Amino acid sequence: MFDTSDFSQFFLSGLMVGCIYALVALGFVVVVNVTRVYNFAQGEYVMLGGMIAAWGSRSDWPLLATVPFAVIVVGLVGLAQERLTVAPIRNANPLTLVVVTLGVGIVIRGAALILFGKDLFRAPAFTEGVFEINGARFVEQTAWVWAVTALLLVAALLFFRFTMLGRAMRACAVNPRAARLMGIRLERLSMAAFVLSAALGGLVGTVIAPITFTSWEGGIAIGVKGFIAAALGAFTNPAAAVGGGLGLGVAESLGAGYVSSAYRDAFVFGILIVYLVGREFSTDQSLHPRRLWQQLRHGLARLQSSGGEALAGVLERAGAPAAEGATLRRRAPAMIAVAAFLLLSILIPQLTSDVRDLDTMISILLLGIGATGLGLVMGYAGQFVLGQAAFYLIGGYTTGVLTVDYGWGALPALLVAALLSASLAFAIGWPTMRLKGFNLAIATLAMHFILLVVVRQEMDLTGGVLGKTGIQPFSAFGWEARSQKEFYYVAWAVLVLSLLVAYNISRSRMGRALRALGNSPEAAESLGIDATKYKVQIFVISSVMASVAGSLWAHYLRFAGPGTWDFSLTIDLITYVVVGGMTSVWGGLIGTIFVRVLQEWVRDSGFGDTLSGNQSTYEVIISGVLIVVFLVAFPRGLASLLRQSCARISLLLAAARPFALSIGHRARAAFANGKLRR
Amino acid sequence: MSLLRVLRGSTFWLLTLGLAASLSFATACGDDDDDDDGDGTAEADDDAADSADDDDQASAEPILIASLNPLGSGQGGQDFLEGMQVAAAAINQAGGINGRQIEIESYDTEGNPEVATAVYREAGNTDALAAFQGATGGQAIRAISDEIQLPVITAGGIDETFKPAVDYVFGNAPTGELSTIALDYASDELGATTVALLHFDSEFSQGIEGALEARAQEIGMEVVAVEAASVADADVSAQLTNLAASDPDVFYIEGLSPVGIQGFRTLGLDAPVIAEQWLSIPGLAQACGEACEGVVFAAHKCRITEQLPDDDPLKAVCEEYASRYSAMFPDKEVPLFGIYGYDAVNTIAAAVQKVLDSGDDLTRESVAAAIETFAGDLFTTQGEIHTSEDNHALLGPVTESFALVTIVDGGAGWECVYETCSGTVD
Repeated sequence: MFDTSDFSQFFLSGLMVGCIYALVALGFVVVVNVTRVYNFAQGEYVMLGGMIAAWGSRSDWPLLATVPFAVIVVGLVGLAQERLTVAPIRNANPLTLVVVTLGVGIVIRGAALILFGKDLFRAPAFTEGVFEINGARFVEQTAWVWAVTALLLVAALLFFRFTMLGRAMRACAVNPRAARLMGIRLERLSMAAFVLSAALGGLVGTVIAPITFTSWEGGIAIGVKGFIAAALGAFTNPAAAVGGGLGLGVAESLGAGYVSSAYRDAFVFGILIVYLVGREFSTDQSLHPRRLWQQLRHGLARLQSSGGEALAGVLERAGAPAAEGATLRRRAPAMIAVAAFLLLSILIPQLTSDVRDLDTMISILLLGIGATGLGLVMGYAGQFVLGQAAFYLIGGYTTGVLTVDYGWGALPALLVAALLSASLAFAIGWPTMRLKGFNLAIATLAMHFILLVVVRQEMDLTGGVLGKTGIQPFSAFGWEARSQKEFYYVAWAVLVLSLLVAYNISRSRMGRALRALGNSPEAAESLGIDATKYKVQIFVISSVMASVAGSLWAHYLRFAGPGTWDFSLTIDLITYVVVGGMTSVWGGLIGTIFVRVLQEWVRDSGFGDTLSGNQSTYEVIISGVLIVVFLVAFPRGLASLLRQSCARISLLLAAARPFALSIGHRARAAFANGKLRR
Repeated sequence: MSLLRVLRGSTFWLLTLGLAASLSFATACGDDDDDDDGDGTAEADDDAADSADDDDQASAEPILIASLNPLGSGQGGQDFLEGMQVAAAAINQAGGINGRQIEIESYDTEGNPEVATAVYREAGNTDALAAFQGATGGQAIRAISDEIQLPVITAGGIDETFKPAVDYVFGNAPTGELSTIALDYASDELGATTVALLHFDSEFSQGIEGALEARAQEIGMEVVAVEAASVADADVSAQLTNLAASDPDVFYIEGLSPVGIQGFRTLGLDAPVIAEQWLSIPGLAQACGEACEGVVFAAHKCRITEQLPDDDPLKAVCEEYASRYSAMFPDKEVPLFGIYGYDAVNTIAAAVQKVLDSGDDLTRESVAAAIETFAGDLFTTQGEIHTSEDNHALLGPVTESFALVTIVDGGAGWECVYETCSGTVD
C-alpha cells in the first residue's frame, strides 16, 4: 500500500541531496559560462568550505564569523587557481584545462589532509532542531539547504540577466572574441567567475557540513555528481543545472526507497543513460523508429567491415610504395626515436631484475594500451570519455569469471571480453555520439558506475567488494607467462599492436575524415563524411584496447577487484593522454611513461622523508603540482614538444647537409690536387 | 589480393619481427631458472637460508620485516606502521632475538590492491623474512601469496583473507565474530528477536550482513531487513525508513559514517541501536557526538584500558603498548589501530625465536611454519593465540579482547557497559 509519509520522506530527502548537487552544478555553470573551463576542483571548494567551518567550530569561532571566513578563504583559493593555472593557458584545449583542474583538485585535497588531518568533521548547524512535513522528519539545517539553494538560484538568474557583469559573462560564453571587441575584459571576468564559483562552493560547504559531515576526501563524489547535474543542464543554464541536480538527488532517494538501496546507483545511472539516449532520439530525426532498424543493420555491417579496417590499414600501408627520400629524411628522427623506443623497451627486462621497476614498466604497458585507445577517441574523434576504466573492468572481470568459474582458456576469455566491450561501446556510443557536448562522457561515466555497483553486489559471481581471486597467469597455446619478465613481453606485444592499429587509423580514411571533422565539421559533413559512423568506430576500437588491457591485468594481478578499475583510473588515463598530447597516436603512451616515471621518481626521491607521517601525501601533492606546472608550460603535451624537437633536428640536419657536402667537395678537390693524402 | 600486397610491404615485416622478438624473449625467459624469474622469490629464500647457515654473519644481520601499509590515505596506515616500530624498538632494546635486531622496511600500498600486490612482490624480492599488511589489499596479496611465498600477517578486517587457510597468509584482526558481539548483547540483555541492518560499502562492511545472518540463526534471532548505503551518502533516511517499516526489536547501524545514526535520531526512531567497532575511532565518535550516545558496540579493550579490572590479562598488554608508544611518539595520541602492527611484529618475533631455538634454518618457510604452531604460548592484544596448519587466525576468543561500550560526553569518550570489561560475557 502506498504510504504518503514514506513518499514524503524519500522525496524531500532526495530534494535536500539534490540541492547539494545543484549548488555544485551552479558553480560549474558560473565558470564554464565565462571561461569554458570545466573545473573539476569545484567539489574540493565545497570540501574546503566544510572543513574550515568545522575547524572554526572546534576553535570556538562564532558561526557568523566562520561562514564569511570560509567563503573568503575559498574564494581566494579560486582566485589563486585562476591566476596560476588558468590565465597562463586560457586558449589551450579544454581537455588540457580539465586535467589542470584535476591536478589542482589533488593539491587542494592533499593540503586539506595535511592541514586538517584524516578525521571526519561535523560543522555546527545554523539552527538546531527537527521539523516535520506530512510525517517526514528533517533536521532544521535541511531547510537552510533548501533556502540557500533557492536563494542562490534566483540570485544567479538575476545576476546573469540583469547585471552588467552577468551579461558580460554570458556574452563571453556565447562569443569570447566578439565580447572582447565590445570592450569586455575577459581576464577580469575570468577572475570574477572563479572567485564567485569558489566562494559559492565554500558557502555550500558550510551549509551542508552539519548534515553530511566532511573530510579531506569528501569533495570528489560531490564534484562528480555536480558535474553530471551541470552537464544535464548543458553547462550554460543555471536553472537547468539546478533542475538536473534536484532530479539526480530525488532519483537516488526514490531508488533507495522503492527499488533497492544496494542497486540504487545502478538504477539512477540507468535512468540517466535512458534519459540521454531519449534526448538524442527526441532531437535527432534520423533516429526515428522506422529508420532505427535499418541504421542498426547498416551500422553493424559498417563496423564489421571496418572492424578490420585498422588492421587492414596496417596491411595496406605495408604494401604502399616506399616513401621518397625527402620524406624519409624528414621523418628520420621520428623513425629513429620509434626504433629506439622499441629496442629499448624490448631490452628493459634484460637490463633490470628489480621487481618494482618491472612492475612499473608492466603497469605502463597496460595503461599505455588503454591510453592509446583513449587518445584516439579524444584526439581524433574529439569526444570526452569518462568511462574508459569501465572497459578495463569488463575485460578483467570477464576474464576472471570465465577462466575461474567456467574453466575457459585465457585467450578465448580475452576475446569474449573484448567482444562484450565492443558491443557495449557500440550500444552507448551509437546513440550518444550524434550530438556534441558531454553526452558520451556522462553516458560512459554512468555505465562505469552501474558496472561498479554490479561487481560490488554480485558476490557469488564477482567476489563483491573483496574481488575475484583464483585467476591464473596468462597462458596461450600451452605456454604460460609465470614470471614478470614473461608477462612483460605479452603486454609489450599487445601495446605494439595497439600502437600500430592507432597509427594506421590516423593514416586511414577514418583518420583523415576525423581530422577533417575536427578542422571544420560543417565542411566535412557537407562533403558526405559521416561523423557519427567514424566516431563510433573509433570508440569501439578504443574500448577493445582497454578491455584487452584489463584482461591481461587480471592475469598479472591474478585478481580482479573494483578498486583496481574505478573512476580514478579513468582520470589517470585522461591525464596521460593530455600530458602526452592528444594530436599524436603516441601521446597516450608518452604521457603514461612521463607521468608514471615522474610519480616513481618523486616516490624514490625522498622529498617527503623529512615530513614524517605524511610522506606519500606530500608525494601526491608534488606529483599533482608538477603535472599542473608541466601543462601550464606545455599545454599541447609532450608529443607536440617531441615533434617540434624532431623538426628542429631535421632542420639542423638539412642545414648541415650543404655544409657537409661542401666539405666533401673540398676534400675531394684536395685529394685530386694532391694536397691531402689518404 | 590485398593480403598479398600487404605481405610485400615493410611495415608488416617490421610488425612480425617485433612480435617474433617479443615472443622469443618471452620464450627465452621461460627457460630461465627459478631464481632468475624476475620475482626473486627463490633468490630471497636462498639468501635467507644462506644467511642463517652462517652463524657469525647471521648474528650480526638484522631480521627484516616488511610493512605494507597505506601511508597517505585515511586508512590508518601510519598507525599500523608506528605500532610495528614500537614493537621492534621494544624487542631491540631488550637485546633483539638472539642478539639480532629487528628492522622494519616500510612500503606504501596507497590503499590500493594493485599497489599492495606490487609492494608485496617488491618486499618478496628483499631479505625480508615476513610482512605485515593493514587495510585494503589483503585479498589481492592472498591471490599471489603462493607465488611470492613471503609470510604475511594481515589486519584488513576480512575473514576471507585468511579463511580458509592458505600457505603464508595469516590474519590478526577479527571481522565476522567482532561484528556480532553486540547482537549477542541484544539477544541476551534486551530480549530482542529481530534485527534490521544498515551497512556501508567498505570491504569490512560487506562482510557484516553474512556474519549477522549466520549469528542470528545460531542464537534464534531473525534479520528482518537489510539496507545498503555509501560512505559518501549525504542522507540515508530512505534506507532507515524502510528498516523502520520492518519493525525490528533492534537496529544494527554500521558506524563507518555517522550519517546513519544521525539520520536514525532525526527520524525519531526509539528502538535500541547496536553497531560494530568503527565508533571506537576518536574522529568518528566526535563527529557523531550526542547522536551516538546510547549506541552499544564492540570496542577493543585497549581503547578503554583504564576501565578494565586489574585482573584482566589484556590490561597489562594494552598498558605496555600505550606506554611504549607514548615513549616513542610523545606528541601523538596512542592510536588504536597500532595494536595490529604491534601484535604482528611480536608474533613474527616469537616465530623467529621458535625457529632459532629449534636449530632449524631461518627461512620464510620455517617462519611461516612456526607461526602455525602457537598453542597458547603467545599472548597478544587479541588474547591467547592458538594456531595450526588449518587455522591461520592469530586471534583469541573475541570477547577476551573486545568489550561492549557506548559513547559518552558527546563523543569525548567511551564507557564500558554490560560488565564486559570484567570478562564475564562469553
